[in-house]
This record gives sequence, C-alpha cells and structure tokens, in this order.
Amino acid sequence: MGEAESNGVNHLAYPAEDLERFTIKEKGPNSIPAPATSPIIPASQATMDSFRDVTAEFFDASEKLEIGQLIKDPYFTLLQAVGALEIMDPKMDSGMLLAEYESFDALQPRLPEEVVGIMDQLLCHEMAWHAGSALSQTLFTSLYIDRLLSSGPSTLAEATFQGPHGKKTDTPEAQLLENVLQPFCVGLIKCCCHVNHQILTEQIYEEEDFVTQVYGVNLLEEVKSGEIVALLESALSWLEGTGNLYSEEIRNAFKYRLLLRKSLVLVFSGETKEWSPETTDVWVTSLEHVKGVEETSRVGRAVPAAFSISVQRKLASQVPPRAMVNYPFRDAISDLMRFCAEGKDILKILDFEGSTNLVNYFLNFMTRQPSPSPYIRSLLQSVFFGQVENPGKFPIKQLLYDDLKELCYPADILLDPQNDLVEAPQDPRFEINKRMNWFIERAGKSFLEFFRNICQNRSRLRRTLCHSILDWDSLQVEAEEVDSELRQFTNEEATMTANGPSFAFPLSSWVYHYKLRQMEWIMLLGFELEVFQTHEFAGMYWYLQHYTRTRISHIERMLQFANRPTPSPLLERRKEPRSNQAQAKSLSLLNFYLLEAAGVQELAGAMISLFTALSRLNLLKKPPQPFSSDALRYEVRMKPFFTIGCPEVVPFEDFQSLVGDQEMETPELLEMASESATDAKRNFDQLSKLDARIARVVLCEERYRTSMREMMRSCIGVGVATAVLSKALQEGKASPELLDVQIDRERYHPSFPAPKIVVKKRQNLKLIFASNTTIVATVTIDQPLRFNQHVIDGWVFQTPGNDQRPLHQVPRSPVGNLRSGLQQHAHNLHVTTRNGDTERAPPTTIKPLYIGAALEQQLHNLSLAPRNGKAQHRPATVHVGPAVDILAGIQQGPNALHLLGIDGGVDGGASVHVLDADVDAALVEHHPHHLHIALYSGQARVRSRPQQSPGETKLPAPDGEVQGCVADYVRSCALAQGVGDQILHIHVLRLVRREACQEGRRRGQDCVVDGAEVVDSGLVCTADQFPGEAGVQTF
Amino acid sequence: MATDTLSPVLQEFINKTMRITTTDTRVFVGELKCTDRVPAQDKNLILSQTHEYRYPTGDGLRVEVESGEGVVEEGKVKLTLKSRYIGLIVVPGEFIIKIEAEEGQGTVGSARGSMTVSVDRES
Repeated sequence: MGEAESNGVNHLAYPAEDLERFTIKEKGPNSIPAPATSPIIPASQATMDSFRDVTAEFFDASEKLEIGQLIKDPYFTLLQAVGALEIMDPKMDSGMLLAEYESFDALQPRLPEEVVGIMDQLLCHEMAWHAGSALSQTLFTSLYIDRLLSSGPSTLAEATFQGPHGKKTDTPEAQLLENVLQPFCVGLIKCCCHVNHQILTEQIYEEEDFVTQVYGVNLLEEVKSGEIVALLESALSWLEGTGNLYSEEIRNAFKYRLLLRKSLVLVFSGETKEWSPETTDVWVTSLEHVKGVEETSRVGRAVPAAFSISVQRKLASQVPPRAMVNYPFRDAISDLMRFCAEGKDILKILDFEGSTNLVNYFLNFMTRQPSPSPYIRSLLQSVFFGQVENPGKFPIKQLLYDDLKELCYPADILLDPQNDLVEAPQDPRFEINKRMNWFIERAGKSFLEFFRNICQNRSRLRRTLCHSILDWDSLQVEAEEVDSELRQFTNEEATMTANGPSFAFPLSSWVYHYKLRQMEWIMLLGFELEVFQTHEFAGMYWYLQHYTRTRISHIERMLQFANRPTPSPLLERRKEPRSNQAQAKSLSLLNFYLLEAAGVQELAGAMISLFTALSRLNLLKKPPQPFSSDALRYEVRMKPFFTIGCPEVVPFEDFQSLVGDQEMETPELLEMASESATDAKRNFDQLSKLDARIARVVLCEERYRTSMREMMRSCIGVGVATAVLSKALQEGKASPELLDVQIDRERYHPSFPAPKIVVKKRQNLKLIFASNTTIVATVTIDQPLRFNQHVIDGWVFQTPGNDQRPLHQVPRSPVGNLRSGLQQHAHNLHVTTRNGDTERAPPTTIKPLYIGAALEQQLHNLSLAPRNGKAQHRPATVHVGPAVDILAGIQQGPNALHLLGIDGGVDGGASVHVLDADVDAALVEHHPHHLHIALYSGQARVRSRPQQSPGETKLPAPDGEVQGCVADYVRSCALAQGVGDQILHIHVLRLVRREACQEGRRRGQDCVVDGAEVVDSGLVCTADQFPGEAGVQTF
Repeated sequence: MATDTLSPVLQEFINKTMRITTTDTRVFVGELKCTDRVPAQDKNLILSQTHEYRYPTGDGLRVEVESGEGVVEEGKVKLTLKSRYIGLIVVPGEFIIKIEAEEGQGTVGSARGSMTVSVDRES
C-alpha cells in the first residue's frame, strides 16, 4: 500500500469504470516448466467485461449470516482452508513486501572488491541451495540475478543488467560489471538449470533433500551451455586485456571465479552416459579452481544491498515469505570441495569390479559424513542406471548372475549362457532358462530398486527398507518355489545337513540373505538416526542380534552347499571343468560375511548386557509415558516386521524375558558384556586388516577401514563403560544419584554409540545459562544434580536482558525443561527472537521448545538443516533429538519453516517424544493467528489458525493445563476433516487421532473423534505408523 | 448443520470465479471456496487457484509505455497486468473494497493467467 501511495497512485486513481474495463485475454499463465507447482488451470477464451460488481450484494448476504456460520463448497475441506495464505498478513503474504528490486540499479558502479564479494555471496547462496534451501531464499534474492531474469530472457543477448532501453556506458566500472559479473551470473544460472534437471531425472525427494521449485522463473533453459562457456571464455580474455587496471590479487580473484564457473558449467552440462572412469578431469579442474577461489576470497567486500528477499513479492509462490539463508563462505567452499571430490569418486563404479564390490561402494558412499549432496546422489544413480540400461557395461542379468554366483555358488547349469540357445522344449535347459529369466525379471527389479534406495537420505532409506523387506519376503517365497521346480531339471541330490537332508535352494538363499541384511540395516539405522531411546536400546540390540544370528546360520548353510563337491550328472557331459576359482570366491565371500556378522553379533550382545544392567540400576532415563506402555511401543516398533514370514517377531512377553534375562545377576551381565566386547573387537580388528579384495571394498577401501575403526572404538567404549559400571557396582555406588549416563555419539560408530558413565560432582555447582550478552538464568545447586522438587524450589529465574526482576519461583513443570537444557549444553537460552526478528517470546518459562529454537537459532536463522538433529552446522557439543527438531520446526515461524524430514516425525520417532511435541506445541503456541507448521516432506506451509472457527464450539472446558492445551491445539487444527498428508502438524494430529481411534475401538466406541474425545481418551503417538498412505481419510 | 440451506445468495457464488480488490489496490482472481462470518472480524473469503494482479506503479507504467508494450487507444493505454500464481488464499473482509463475480455458467477457471487494463496515459 505504501508503495502505491508513495508513487502518488492509490486505488482512487483507478475509478470503478476502469476496473470494469479489465479485459481478459488468452494467455497461458505459466509457459515455463515449473516442476513443483500445482497445476494451474490454463486460461481459456473469456468474454470481455465478464465480471459483475457484487460487493454490496455479497456484504449484505454476509451480514445476514449468524456468527460462526459458514458457506462452503461441499468438497472443500476445512483442513485445506487451514493451509491458505492470509492476505494482508505480513507474516504470510509475500505480496506485502516492498518492491525493493524496482529501485535497484544493477549498473551502479561497483568497486572490484565489491564485485568479488558479490560473486562469493552468490556462491554461498548456490551451495545453500544445494544443501536444501529454496531458491527464493538463496540465489533469487540476488538483485543482479533478478535483473537478468525478470524479463524472461530466452537468448543470451537478452540476459543483461541493462534495461531494454538502457544507455550503454563505457566506464571501467560499467565494463567490469558487463564483462565479469554478468557472465558469472549467467553461468551460475545455467548451472542451476542443469542441476535442477539432473535432480528431477532421478529419485531424490523434493523438499526433503532439495527444492527444485523455480517459481515460474526461466533459468535460461533455451540458452545452450556452449554459448555460456564461450561467454565465460570471452570474459576471461577481456580480463587478460585489462593489463594493470586491477591489482594482481583482484585479477586472480576474478580469474578463478570465472574459471570455476566455466568448469562447473562443463561439469553440470556433461552427459552422464558418456562418462568413463577417466572423465575425472572436469572434477579435478573444478576442485583446483575452488582452491583458487578460496585463496583469493580475502579481497572481497560484501555488498548486502545486492540481495533482498523482496524478490519473493513477485515469485509465483504458495508459501509465505521466507528469510534469506545465510550460508557461511567457509562452509560453501568446503561443501564445494567435497562436492567435486565426490563427483570424481562416483565415477569409480564404472570400473566394474563385481556386484558385491558395487553394492559395498553404494553402502559405504552413503555412510560418508556429512552425507553426499542430493546432486551427487542423483548423479550416482544416473551413472549407475546408465550402465545397467542397454547397452551399458553391466546389464541387470550380468549384475544379478554375478551376485548370485558369488554368494551362492549355484550349479553351473543354472547360469550357463548356452541355455539361451536351447530351443527344444523337452530339453531341461529350456525349462531352466525359462525360470532363470523369470528370476532376472522379478529379482532384478527388486535388486535395482535396492540400489536406488541406498542413494536416498538415511531416514528415507530406513523408511523405504521397512517397505522393501515385504517385497523381498514375498520374493523369497516365490524363489523357493522356483528352486524346487528347478531341482527336477538339475537333478540335484539332497545333501546331509544338521537338520537332515536338504537341497541348496540357491535363488531363495540369495534372496533370504539380502532380506536379512536389510532387516539388520533397519535396526542399525534406528540407532544411527536416534530413533530409539536409550531405555529401548537393550531390546533393539537384541533384535539386531537376533537378525544377525539368523543370518549367520543362513551363511553357514550356504557355506555347506558352496563347499560341496559337485558331481552333477549334467555337469559331466560338459567340456569345461567346474571352475574352482568361482567356488573359492564364494567361499571367501561367505567366510568374510561370517566374520563380519559374528563381530556385529558380539558387539550387539555386549550392548544388550550393558544396557540391561544400566536399566536394572535405573541409570537410563525413561521419560514418563502417561499414555503409553512398553507393550504398545513394542508393537509399534516392530510393526514393519510383523508380516515377515521368517524370522518372526517374538511375542512381547517372551521378548521382555529374553532381553531382561532375570536369571542372571547384574555383575554376571557386566562380565558377559565385557567378554563380548573383547571378542567383537578382535573380529573388527581382523576385519579392518583384510585385503580390500577379500572385503569386497576395492572401490571404497578407505571408507571401509574408517568404518571398521569406528566399530573397534565402539567395542572399546563399551568395554570401558562396562568396567566403570562394574567398579561402581562393587563399591555400591551404582545409583542414579551418583552416576550419570550419557550417550556419546561423536566418537563411535553411528549405530553403536557407547554410553559414557560419569560420576556426578558432589560439590556446589553453579550453572549459568547465558546468551551472547546477558545472563538469562543463574541456577545454583547445593546438591548433586538431582532435578526434583525441593532442589528446584530454591531457584529463582530471571528474565532475559537487563531486567533483573525475579520472574517466578520455578514450579514443578520446568524441571524436565531445565534438564533438557542442561543435557544439551544450551548456551543460548535467550529466547527473545524466534526467527531472526525481534519478536519476544514470553519469558515466563523455559521450555525445551525454546531451547531447541535457541539452539537452532545459533545456526542459520532457525533454518533447520537436515534430519534428525544432525545438521551440518550444529555445534558438535549440542545434541538435539528428533523431538526438539520438531518443536523447533513448529516454532520457527513463517520465515524459516524449513524443517527437512524430521526423523522423529517421518519414521519411527520416539513415541513419547512426539507426544511431548504435540503438547508443547500447544503450550507454547503464542502467536495467536498462525500455527506454524513444519513439514515432514512436501511443501512448507503456514497454517492460519482459524479464530473461533465455526462448528467447533462443543469442546469441553479444559481440564488442567496440559489437557486444556491439547484441546486448544486440537481445536486449532481440528478443522481436519480430510487430510492432505503433507503437513507434519497433521501427522501429529493424526497420530493423536489414530490412537484415539484405537482406544475408541478398544472401548467399543465409534471412531468419530473430535478434539474432546482426543483429550479424553489418552494419547499415544505411534510415529512408525504413519507413512502417509493408508487410513488418511478414515477418521 | 447443512450449509446449503444457508444463504442461497452466497451459495450462488461458491465455486464461481471471483475478483476481489483489496485496500492496497491488488486484485485477486480465484474460485470462491468458502466464506464465513466471525465475530469481531467481519468475514473471510477463501479463494483457490488464485492469481494476484498488480497495477503498474508510476515508474513501471512509464517504462512499459515507452517500451511499446502497451497498446495505445484513444488516449488510454492497454496494459497487461503483472500477475503471479499464489494458489489458495484467505482474504479477511476488512481488507476487501470490492467483490466481483464472473458472469456466465460453469466457466470454472476461465479468467486467470492474464488480465489487461486500460488506464489513462497520464496516470
């Protein structure tokens, strides 16, 4: 509005009759491919003046409505309404931003240092985009880029800083902009264009890892990369010709930036299919130029005025304004270096070293920390699938046969290439071929899917595995049948095994082995992603061990069959002798697996014993679960495995007694833990020294050795913890008052974090929670760290800032909050700002939410970086669990709703945590108009909280604070009648509802749930259960 | 409560393409999905598949006229309004200065994407 007035134009300048003269002409609203936008209905031919003023009519009719009444399209759900952007609300309406870009003069002379600074800032934005931020928060905030793109250029000549009728000047400053910054920006835009295309080609989850949204802006799609390379080259030669105009340092700075951009354009525009292991040059060159850029970055001078989020005012965007991402230059450079190194590394898979090596490469590649960027993961898929498809280097048949042969050493006749040539239907080989072709088709699909899955982010991988084991399970059954059929054609004779005579079952053995491995990974990832809580560790390690043990016996079985002498009658007719080399290869692989599995099994065993001991001594913190129970959580945890035929899930009672092992005394348990840890360490020591060929890690040796070292460290860590605990136990000091148990994730293998047991300090302890400048709260504790009522009562909290008035005695409720603050080493409990602005949060209580938000805030303006508390920029000492992530996400406010795939929310989050989030979300929802929602995948949205919305007046009076808040919370989003499954908030709600439904069913009630019943019936969150498919509309 | 028994006048507008002008002179064209009456706050209109239109500002207008983008007719300039797709929106009643409904039957989604306006050349 202000802008209109300042130009002397307000709406009165357009009299009513002018408005009447709007003419609608046919034009496609969006001719540019915009991958992630909702479909826009194309405008069709419409008549002139087809609108009729109904203002008075509408207002009159509206007046006649009773308060709270609602007129709507019957198919329009109120939940959808909740996702609407509220016009004229500055937090939601990007149209209210001032059009700063209009007054930006792209031709204003800049110092050479400033040009370098702008280029570096652009690089930061580019890498922030690669790391998962939206273009609207990164590159599109650049007013130079805006100037280049706002006219929608389709040729290079149109992409200039000049206006269409601008006058050309030939000052050195103008030339610099034209010859350096402009080509640089053009190159950068083209890079984005290529990257977007690449990511869309393969499976990478939109908004979870990467945002491909371009808001209707054309990223120079029509301009050929060759032209842009030429432009950058001419920029470089212009630079050559400047002589001594610039200092050497400046000239080098320009040179490296242009060279880097040129080589990146080349890299990104490369055809993946044409790549070979030797095509690493492009990456190597890029890497060198990155170093050049880093070395010359000192001369740059930042120009903040060249960037503004005001551009969001005109982007075709269905989200509220979002804050600009501030990505540090150092991180951008290290990201880019890693990027180039990984881009080069993945070309290794083109040296086909056998299927097992290939699988291991994928697995090890994805365990890198920080994890490879979405672009690289997409590229890996492209390079791989380029080789699988015709006429690639490793077609699926070869890949599968290779894998099968190495693992199971089946009878030669099954894999004989000659089988294809047999046409006589009575020949057994004809029948064999038929069945093997079925196998290639059926198992090949699952196998390729398996490669693709590994390329997803870790949380997504875990979730996908939970689904894919079902596929492998049925594949196993089908393969068993085919194995039996094949026997009549191979004339296989039964071999004596420990369980009586048996047959080899090569195909189903292969399937079973992969299935078991995937089941183990689900468990391992549960630890790595911090899905399991410490009090569940013993049980979850028990399952890991269970699956590993099952696999060990399967490997032993396969060994027996691989080891057999094979005087097959069919074989004797063949000319070539059965190759002993192939047999030796299988045996070595199986023995390797045996060693590896034994190590995991031992270490898991040590973990079970140690954590069982810890829980017996009450040393594991178990959050209160007023609405849940161990049995219920078990049911939820094991849900993905329930339908698996073999191995089966054990009943909860058995599970409890197996894990708890009540017959064994605690000291004995500890002794066992210590022995197992020692044994495991021996195994991993041996494994870490194996030849890369034997370990099948030819392509990823370094990563493999690192991982084995981590395993050894975990063994040592467990050993140490066991020793400390044993000693304390002997001295009678193993009690929660005296010992503290922390889970140390930094130094160990991510799936085997060892507990750290420390003796609590008994002295007076003064804890100071400080923000950057002010002391927020001072807490003095006279006793060992015990957070109970009488200790707490003495504490006085002070308000943040200089206001020293005592706020209130801390009542019972913040205990947990404070504790979590302590646990998290929160140095920034200062919660005055939520999303970078100065909005004040009520300083009355300190909730985990605030701490979470504060922690995040130290990072980049609350823009939550990747999953499960493992943001790259998170200080190493800070441990933020999934729950805090969710809370922080909810809290972030409209500008930074970038919560990416929160693990707790997506897949198997700790049940109680999510409930806490739920309740806390309600407790601290202090922005009355908006519930800000983080999403678990899909677009970020802000939901407008309907005020006194119609149709929900029947809520009971809140009973107690928490219930009241839940009711409030539910009310605020209880408009849910159908579900768009994109919004985390709804997931949380759905959890609540689903449980309420279950509860309702148990009580024989109907499943109609409204806010009131939710509150009544008790809530249990079953995070594992909502993969967003079934049951969405049912409640 | 079945909503279709309420206010047939308003019911008539549901799913029609509506054009709403707000106090800051922006124009929103989209399909009306829902409207209500709430205390202390007037009414809300929810539009789906909405495009936002803006009048060119003084400077922008001049540039466009000079660049020959507008068609001059009888001293008036016909210009294509700048628009963008913003999807589902709520417009609170207090900011609404004008509501228009598209005439004609069943032309769902017809009037979006582009809009031209005639203004005096001098403005």
